[in-house]
Parts: sequence; structure tokens; C-alpha cells
Amino acid sequence: MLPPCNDTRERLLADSECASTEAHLLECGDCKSWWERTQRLSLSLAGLPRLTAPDELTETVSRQLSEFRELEGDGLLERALRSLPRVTAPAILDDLVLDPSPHFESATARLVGNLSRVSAPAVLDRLVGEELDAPARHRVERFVGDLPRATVPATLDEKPIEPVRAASARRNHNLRRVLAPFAAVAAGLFLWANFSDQAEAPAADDYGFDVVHVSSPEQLSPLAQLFLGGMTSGSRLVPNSGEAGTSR
Amino acid sequence: MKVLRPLLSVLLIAAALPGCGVESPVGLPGTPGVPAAFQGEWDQIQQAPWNTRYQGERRVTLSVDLESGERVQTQYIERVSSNGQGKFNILPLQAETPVFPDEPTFLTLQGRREGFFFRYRDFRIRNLELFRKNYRHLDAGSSVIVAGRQAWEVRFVRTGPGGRTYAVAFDLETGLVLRCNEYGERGVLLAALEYTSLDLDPDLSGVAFFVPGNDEVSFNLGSGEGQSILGFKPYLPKAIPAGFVLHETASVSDDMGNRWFKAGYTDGAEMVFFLHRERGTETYDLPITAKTKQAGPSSRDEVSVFRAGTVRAAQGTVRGQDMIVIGEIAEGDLLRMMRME
Repeated sequence: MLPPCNDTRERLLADSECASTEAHLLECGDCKSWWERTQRLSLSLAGLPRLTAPDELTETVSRQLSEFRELEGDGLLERALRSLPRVTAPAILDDLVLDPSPHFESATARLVGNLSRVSAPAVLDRLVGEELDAPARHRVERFVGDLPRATVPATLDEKPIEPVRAASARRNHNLRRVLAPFAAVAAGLFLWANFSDQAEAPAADDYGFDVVHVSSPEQLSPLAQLFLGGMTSGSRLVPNSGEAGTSR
Repeated sequence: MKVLRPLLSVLLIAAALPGCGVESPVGLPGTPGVPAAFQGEWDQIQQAPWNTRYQGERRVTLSVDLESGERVQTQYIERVSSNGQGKFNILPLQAETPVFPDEPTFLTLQGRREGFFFRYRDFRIRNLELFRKNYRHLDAGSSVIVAGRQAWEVRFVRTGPGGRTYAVAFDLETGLVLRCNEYGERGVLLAALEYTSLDLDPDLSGVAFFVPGNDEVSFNLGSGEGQSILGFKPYLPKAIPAGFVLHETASVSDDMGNRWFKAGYTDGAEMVFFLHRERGTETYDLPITAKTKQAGPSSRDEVSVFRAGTVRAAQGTVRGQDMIVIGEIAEGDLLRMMRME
């Protein structure tokens, strides 16, 4: 990282709307992506639920702090701290302070390795797996619905080839005469088979919206999952895929 | 205070009265022909979890039939504490079956759900008048011992199709529910909760009582207070499942800090929740499966439905309103609550 980068980043951390950093961000891809990552992280952290400490904890901490303040007032705190045995810093910390670059990545890796591992939800694993298996197919499925619908060029409507149209109309007329009775019988059978036993079931149209059945609670919002978890006492609600749940 | 001692005799009287015996509407105190003085005891039963100072351990069992046909059984032990002045704590202690996703995470998550469990999951008679309309008692009850304490166990059944049956044992001294078994169709056990110990003189000095983490603010819907708290006009569903009435209204926040209107409906015991907020430009957390499609003549809103055993949840955006409905009701009832008239 070059000094201008360092300077820019420090200024951005101090003031996120610092105008003097704009020029550097335009020409430095590293700083631009760093700033975007930082902003995303900041947003994510801001979105975490805020928890309030129980009253009992607040009281206990206040009580203990007041005891410390009393000690501090008498200069006793400083004396007490000085009397504590000195603990030497680990060698890796000294190395990092003296020359951070060669050790930084390995130290970070060790620290990260010590963190508790959180598994991704099974449904996420499945969705990512499906996406990796056939990326093109999933990309098409995801975006095809958003494509603008192409309209028929006006010239195509205005200048049909008359002889072709007439021949087509004759063929269709004959075909309709032959198939019409069969089509009527088939439609009747279809309606009878599908709706004869559903008199009580509400039609989807009754609601004014489409209904989609999902197979995992993780396809619901966190708030819905919170209520669902409460109503089901935190039970497992996804089929056992072999990776969910552990035995005592 | 032997709250339920007189109740025992009343139950026997009720069983003997015409129309108040087996398979009759809940003929407990308050039934015509039964001295009205006993009504007070039901108030005590309704308030017992809040105004009794106690601590006890209990076993919770839940059975959920998934869409895949698999039956998931979850059983664990938890410790419940109440200071008798409205403060409570539920501390999950240990799992007795495989739990999801693993025991430490499960116990941590259960701890976060303590407010919901205490207020809504545990069996309560939330509205006596409605409870008597919607539930019938199947017998006059019997004396049982639960956690070494004398209790009176009565079986109730929810009227209407697919009605669930409850066997509830009330502590004779305090009115606390010491045991509750809930059965579905064909007598399948859906949920069970049973105290294994109960201390009415506990040391609660080390208990960290529940503090709401979702900024919940209750308000009276008619006062206009809700709109100022929420920042939008709360919408109430027009089609309510049969037997349910509005029980409570409040404002709650989701994990992104968005405020939602929460309406809780009850049939006297069970709860159904309706949550709603106006969709704005702010952070939005519903996944893409529940979305409003691009505007156009043929576009329709989409609602996602998930079923877990007898519990159903639906969520989606209907005419610009984000909605979530959750409860042990039929899918049709759930969806009708989301229909904008």
C-alpha cells in the first residue's frame, strides 16, 4: 500500500464523505474496492440486532465500576496495577510489531483458524451446489424473466403475404371441423377430472396473489423464522440430509 | 393459597349439571349454574405464571411431521424462573434428542426465544369467555401428581374439524400449568411440557431476567398511537379464522431495524400472528421467493407458504404491503388473512 492510499483510507475512516479523497478513489482500484468492502461491512454491522443488557448486569457493572472509581480517587488503582506481575508479550507479537508484512497473513490464518466455525445453512449449500453444477442454466433462469418482451415489428402485421394467409385459413378451417368434437369432449373430461372434487378448495384467484410452497424455513425472512422457531420450539424443520443435527 | 381446592368440587358439580358434563362446552367456573365466585380462580390461573414467584425445571417435547414424511422429535430440559412481578427467564439446559443444528447452537437459539416461549408457546387460557366457546372439556378431571405436587388434570378439545386435544394439569396451590400434553388427530402427541421440579421459594439472585430484543411496544389500536410509533397506518386483516379474535397489538423491529405491526389473535388458548409493514425504500429482508413482481397488466403478487407439522407460515408482499402470518391454522385461513379487500 502506497502512502497516498494510506492517507486516503485514514481520511475516509475519519470522514466517510471526505471530498478530497474522490480523485484518488477514481484512479486507484485497490482503494475503491477497499472502500466498498468497508461500507458493506459497516452496513452489515449496523444491521445487527441491538441487545439491551439485563438490569441486573447493569447494576453489577455499575457497582463494580464505582468501587474502581473509589480506588482511582485514592491513587490506589495505579499502585494496584503497578503491583501486578508483568507478563512478557508472545514472540509473535514482537515480530509483528517490528515487521508486520511477512507474518501478517500466517498470523491472521492462525487466528481465523481458532475461531469457531459456523456452517452455512443446508439450503444455501444446496442452492450453491446446484448453481455450480449448471451455472449457465441458473443464470438464464434468474434473468430471463427480467428481459423486456419484444414486440412484433409493425411491418410484419401490415404486410402479410395474402396467398399464404388464405391457404393457412383454409387448412385451419378444415382442421377445426374435424377436431372440434374431440376437443370439446377432452375439455369436458379435463374439467371434470380436475374440479369435480375441489368444490371446497379455494381457487388461487380468490386471494389476488400467487401462492408458492417453499420447502425450507430459510426461504422465509428472519422475522418469520423467528416466530416459526418460537412456535415449533426450535425443532429441525428441514429434512435430515445427513449434515443437520448431531447426536448427544 | 389453595386456589384450586374449591375448583375440584366445582368441577364435580359441573360434571353433574345438565349440559355441563362430558363433551359439553367448558363447564368450569363461570358456567351458568356454577357459582360466579369461582370466576376469580380462573383469573388466578390466567395470571399464575406472572404473579407466582417460582423456579422449576421442565421437559419440553415436540413432534413435527415434515412435508417429506419424516417425523422430527425434539426433547430438551429447560429451567423457568419467575419473580412473581412480571419478570421471567427460561434457561435451556440440555438436549435429550439430536437437535438442530447442534446442541450448543440450539441452546443458544432457545435462549433467544425465551420471550416467545413464556408468552405464547406455553399453554395459557388467554381469554376465558372465548376459551369456553371454542373448547370443550372431555371429563371432569382427575387428581394427579406432577413434580411431586398435587395437581388436577383436565382434558380439553378444540371444537371444529381437526380439533386438537389438550390434557392440562394445574397445580392445586398456585394454578400453574405443571403439565400439558397436546394431541393431534388420531391421538398423535404433538407437544408435551412437564415440570420435573418446582420450587416456590427460589433464590433468584443469579437469574438474568428476560429483556426484549425486538423493541416491542404494545399499543391500543384505537388510540392512533400505533401510527405514530410505526410510521404508517397499521392494517388489520378482514378475514379472521373462525373462533379467533384480536388479542393484542404492538410494534416490533426485525433484525434490520424495520418496524412491523404485530397483531396477535387468540381462540382463547392458541395464538395466530399477523405482521405487516408498508414496503418502503429502506433495507428489506424478505428473500426473493416472496416478492412483488414488476408492475404490468398480468403481474401478480407472490406469497410463500411453509408448513412444519401443524404450524404454517406465509409471507409475501401484497399490494405494496409486506405481510407475515403464522399459526396452527389451515392454509386457506392463513392466506385469506393476507388478502387485501
